[in-house]
Amino acid sequence: MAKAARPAWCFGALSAAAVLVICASAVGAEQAYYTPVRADEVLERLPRSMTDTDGALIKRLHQQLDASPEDVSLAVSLATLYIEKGRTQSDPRYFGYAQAALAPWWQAVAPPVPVRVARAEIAQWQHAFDQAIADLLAVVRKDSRNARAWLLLANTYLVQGRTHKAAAACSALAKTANQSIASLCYAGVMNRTGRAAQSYALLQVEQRQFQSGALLQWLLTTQAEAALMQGHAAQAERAFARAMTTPRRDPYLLAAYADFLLDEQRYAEVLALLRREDSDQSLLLRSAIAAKKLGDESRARKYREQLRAYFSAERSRGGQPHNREAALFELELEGDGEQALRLARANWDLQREPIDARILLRAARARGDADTVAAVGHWLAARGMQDVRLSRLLEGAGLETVR
Amino acid sequence: MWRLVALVFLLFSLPVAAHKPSDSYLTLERSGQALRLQWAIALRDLEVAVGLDGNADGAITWGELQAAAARVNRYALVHFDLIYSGNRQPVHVTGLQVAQKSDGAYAVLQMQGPPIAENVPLAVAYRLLFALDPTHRGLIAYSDGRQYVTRVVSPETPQVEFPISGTSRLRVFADYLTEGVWHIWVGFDHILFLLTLLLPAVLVYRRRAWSPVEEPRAALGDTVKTVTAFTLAHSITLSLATLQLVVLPSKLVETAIAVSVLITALNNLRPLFPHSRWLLAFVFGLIHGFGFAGVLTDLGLPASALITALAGFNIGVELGQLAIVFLVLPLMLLLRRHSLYRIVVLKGGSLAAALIAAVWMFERALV
Repeated sequence: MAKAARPAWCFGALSAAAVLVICASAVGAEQAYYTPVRADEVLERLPRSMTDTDGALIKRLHQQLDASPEDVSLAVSLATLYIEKGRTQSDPRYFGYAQAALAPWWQAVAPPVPVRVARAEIAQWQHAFDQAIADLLAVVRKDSRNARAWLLLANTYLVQGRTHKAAAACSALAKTANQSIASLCYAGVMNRTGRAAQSYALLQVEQRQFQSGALLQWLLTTQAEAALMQGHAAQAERAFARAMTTPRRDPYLLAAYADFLLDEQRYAEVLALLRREDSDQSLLLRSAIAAKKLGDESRARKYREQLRAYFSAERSRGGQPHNREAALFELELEGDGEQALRLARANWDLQREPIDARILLRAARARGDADTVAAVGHWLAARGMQDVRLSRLLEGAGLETVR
Repeated sequence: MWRLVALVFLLFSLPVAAHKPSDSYLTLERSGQALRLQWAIALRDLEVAVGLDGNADGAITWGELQAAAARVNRYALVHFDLIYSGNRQPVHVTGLQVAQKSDGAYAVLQMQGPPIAENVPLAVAYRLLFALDPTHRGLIAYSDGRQYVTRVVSPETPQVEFPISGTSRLRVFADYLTEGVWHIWVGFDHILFLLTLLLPAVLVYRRRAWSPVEEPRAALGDTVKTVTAFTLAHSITLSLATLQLVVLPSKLVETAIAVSVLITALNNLRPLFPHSRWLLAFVFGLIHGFGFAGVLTDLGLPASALITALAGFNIGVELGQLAIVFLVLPLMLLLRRHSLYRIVVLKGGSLAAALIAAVWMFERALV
């Protein structure tokens, strides 16, 4: 009896195990792909930028463009709308849509001027700086009064740390546009050439000229940067706070403000500022750093996982994560100093804003790489850049060139 | 003026890293002649391409996605070609599911391709969303059981080909050679047959009794003759069966293999052909060749490299067989003068082999 019962028992146990394994694998499969049960289950909430009031205008432009796809002004209007959406939402899809609107001229050697400016704008956003500059130089050669092109050119040179060329572009701009716009252009150059105090004062005067939210936002961000370079935290904070009252979302402002709060060790405020910004890598990165500093391990881990997913998604589509973010990620979150320094150097080859100098200096110091610290110090000194945050990083290395 | 100023301003926001760009994930799974495809496309992209949000409330429900399914399927299939043998092949959507990824929800189209010959490479021409967003990328994962490949398609390189793995002749040859060696080692009935056949090689049958050979050379010659006969025979039938020139039911072949072991074992106990075991080896080798062919067919043969695979497998079988001979023959030579060899090894071993073969015979004939 017992003998007969035993195989039966074994068989039962085995079947149960088999059923469990099958169920487990079914659950595993469900996590990847599933069939929703209820028709009213919400799968996705579209970003507001897809459903806002521009929607009707974009739709109309698309219809008109379908009828005459070679109409330059229609195409550029549509592309410009998308570029603004892409900028404010930090969403690359909109830059793709902008590129599609310009499709007839995208590969052209010498497209019409407005197309070429828009094309440069897209290239700049995608960090193809040399390509953007080539297009913009071609534009201003043909149309030396093109304010848009001069402004974008000045901006791109600034990102690359080519302050002389940026200053020249601002001068050219001054001949064609409103003086206040040119002042804003100069203020950016002054911030990076040791004249932050003058820049701050100039922007204080120009503030009255700018009622429009978007321009004021830019002015105040530049002014806050000037204050920070001099170590004036209270002034910077006032400028940031005022800039934030403008409803337009500005990722550059958010990142700069978050960096300021991180410097001030006001980590909880960083999380509060960026609580809805999880679709933006550079902002997600700031949230992750703040959560880690606060000791909020579970939150830090969540953000870190999201960032890893973004970086690996970027690589698997054949792209490269932006080195500025990748370097900071390694430096602050992964603790891989060697990798951080490699990425920071690669980033320095492409971008040379104050933040890029900071990241490289920190990565180099962490690895005891005095040569790199000295090289960055000399580069900054050659431009006369004065920034207390950078000076602190240089002092420890025995360098007195930047104070 | 302020309008210009506002426009000009837009240029000044510095570039920052951002949202994930648009990607779709296409998976092709080949198994035998079947081809299954899964295509995950972001709902956001489908909203732009075909419109999903029926009530324009900014939220896409499962009901809205289902209502748009026909449009989604058409849009997907129009922007994708499955190509093999230089022709575009029809693909059918068999189901719609959903995936939640880190950057949002995706519609997952379950699809099926037509039955396809196993050794024809597949190609995919991809156009999805490129006209709407040239920065869109298709991430294609291909697997056929032997390899897993991923490719990225873009407007610049919209077409990818997935070659058959191991297309190189050398690779096919090496693969099948290994299979051949492996098969002779794990195929217990072949080892048993070979051992049974070799046991008397170090002996000579005189006056109704086995006695040890004097010269090892005589044993070696006998072994070479036997093994060569076996090899020649099974190579013939293996080729005939693999090329489908002669087809025998596997049940008949398996039973006959058992019979071959039985008769060879009995021949050791009571020799009917004491001096021409090579003949036995040849006749039964023919049967074993059909057995090998069955294994080879189960493995699946690349049509493009059929002869290479066949040669590789056959040579693998020979090498595996020779390894066994080289292992066993020195031992046999060493023990041949011992009376225990004749009694225990030859008689006992043959008896055991005969018993096992008899059991197999009944099992294979009856089941």
